[in-house]
Amino acid sequence: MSEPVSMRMSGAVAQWLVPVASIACAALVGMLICSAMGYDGPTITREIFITPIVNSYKWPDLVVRAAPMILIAAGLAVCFRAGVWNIGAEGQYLMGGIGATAIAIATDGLTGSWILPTMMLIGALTGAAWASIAGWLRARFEVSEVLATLMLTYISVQILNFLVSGIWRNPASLGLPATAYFGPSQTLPPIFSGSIVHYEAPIAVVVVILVWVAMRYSVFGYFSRVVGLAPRSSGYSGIPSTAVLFAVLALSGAISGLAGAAEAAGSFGRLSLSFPTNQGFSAIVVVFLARLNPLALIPAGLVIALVRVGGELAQMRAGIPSAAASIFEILTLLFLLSGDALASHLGVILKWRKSSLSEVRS
Amino acid sequence: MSIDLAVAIIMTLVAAATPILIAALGELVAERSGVMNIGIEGMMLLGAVVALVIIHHTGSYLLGVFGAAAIGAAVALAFGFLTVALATNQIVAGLALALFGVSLSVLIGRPYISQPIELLGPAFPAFMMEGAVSKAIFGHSIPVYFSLVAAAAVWWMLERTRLGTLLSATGEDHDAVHSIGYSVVTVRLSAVVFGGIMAGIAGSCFPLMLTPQWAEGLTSGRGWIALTLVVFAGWRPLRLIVGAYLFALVLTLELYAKAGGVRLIPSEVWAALPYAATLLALVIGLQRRSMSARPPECLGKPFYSQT
Repeated sequence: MSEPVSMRMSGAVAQWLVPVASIACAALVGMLICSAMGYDGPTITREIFITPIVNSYKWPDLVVRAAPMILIAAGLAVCFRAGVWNIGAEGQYLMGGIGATAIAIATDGLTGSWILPTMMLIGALTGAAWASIAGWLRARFEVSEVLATLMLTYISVQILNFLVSGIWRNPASLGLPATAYFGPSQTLPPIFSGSIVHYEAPIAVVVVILVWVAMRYSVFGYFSRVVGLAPRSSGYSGIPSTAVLFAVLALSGAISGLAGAAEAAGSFGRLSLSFPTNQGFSAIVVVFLARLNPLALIPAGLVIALVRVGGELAQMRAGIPSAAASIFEILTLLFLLSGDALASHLGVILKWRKSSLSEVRS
Repeated sequence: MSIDLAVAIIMTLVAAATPILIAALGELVAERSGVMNIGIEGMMLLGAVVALVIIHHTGSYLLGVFGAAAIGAAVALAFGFLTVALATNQIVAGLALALFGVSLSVLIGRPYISQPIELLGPAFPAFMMEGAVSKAIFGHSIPVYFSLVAAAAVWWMLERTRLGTLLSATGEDHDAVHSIGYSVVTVRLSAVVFGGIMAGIAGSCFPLMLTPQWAEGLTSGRGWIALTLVVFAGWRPLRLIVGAYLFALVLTLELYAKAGGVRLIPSEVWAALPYAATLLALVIGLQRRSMSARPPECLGKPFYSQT
């Protein structure tokens, strides 16, 4: 299960052509599927991919939506490079939101500039702790982290439901069970007054840069990449692979938790039953769209945010269920995977032809 | 506890175990060949919705099952093409398949949300079900018996036939199988498609015998549970029966505790219990790992032909 994501092919084809072609193919096939289901496919596709770009008032929405996915994806990029398949980032994200909300509720009525950083810190720690359960299960009992993180995600959804519709529920929230809205000291402020873009976006950019630097220049980044590329031989060279496993899981859990905390304190301003929005799964698409390259996460996150924002527009105008929009996301991932494989096969064929040609020449 | 209640609990338990067992059997065959398909949940949901739509329009349960098997096979073939022929990462492709199935089933099922169909009746005639014991044995519908026969058949195929040896050998050492002239890709694709057919049939159990109408996420995570059961069973088909029934017991307890008004424990705890139990089962299953209960050597590893 520790097979690394090998980026065998290099150069322009893999870096740009495959992602762009994948998005185009996803748009086309998604349109066909929607039409086949009796919806207005062309309108849906236009609402998803064109409308949010041509209407500048939708741009802040894109930034707000992209921020949590970029954050989660930054942690996942580290995990996936190390060959650790944390596919339950959604659960770590939810636990981060829960951790931050616990602080918000505990400090209800208090003011002070220390509250928000504490919320973010506790959110990150909760996420890290939740991911570490999977790390412990893998290290101690050899339970696959794929299964463990998934099961933990299902459990975290129930913890959230329990808290939000039980002990944390604001009696005034009639329709949708939710906590009370956080106070001003517990809410992430907008980056400038009147904007819907709050501080999660700059946090995401900083985290992405930190992850990029850490992956490229630190011993930790080096170790985790070696473990991902050569899980067996890394042991012989003295790299503590169990420590790396824990570290990458805890790091990605912490970043996912931070995203959850920032969403609860920012975009939502409270915790509610509708807090889980599959950001953790979309982040996986973002990571692959960005070819596991931290800096490329920002444009990739914006693209998937486009599908999400556009998907909501399409929901309103073409009356599609939200699942239709996620089909476009998933198709993008499927085309990325097949595009990468085809590109690498093509690369093998080209190389082979080149080498056989040179043999003929000599 | 009255006899009637005991029989009722057994009926619920057996019904709950059936789709899990069928799906897990298919996954077991795929994993024994070396391919881990974590997309069972998606294939099950597609199977469920396709079966429901076909039964709704034609009234034929058999056609419904065929349709479910066909959609499972088709989606598994796409997954197999990606992972076996193109050697892409099985986990990411499987996750994409799972999410794709969930979303597509929502789209297909939407017009059928509040249109109930009639569930399949018991497999045997009424005179065979007189008395509590007879009812507990003969009172189930066809999928229940199918699942048990399938478990025995998969066991026989894996342990007693050449085909089974070839399949296990492919999972253990694909280079060796390749070197003696078999096609690793063909073996694995067939195993993955078999897994898809079984997942589709497992999905069809829902409109056949469990829930008469469509609801989003109808299978409520059973596909993930089937996936972990394969590990719990140590990749042995007969142990899957034990695992599926143990797990169904947890689900049944949940159902009766809720119905019996056990207010002491919040419903969310019951809802989380199957997943916590699954994690625990994984730990237990892997703790008593012996030589006979280890994962296939090449599980999850892509095969690159040297030629």
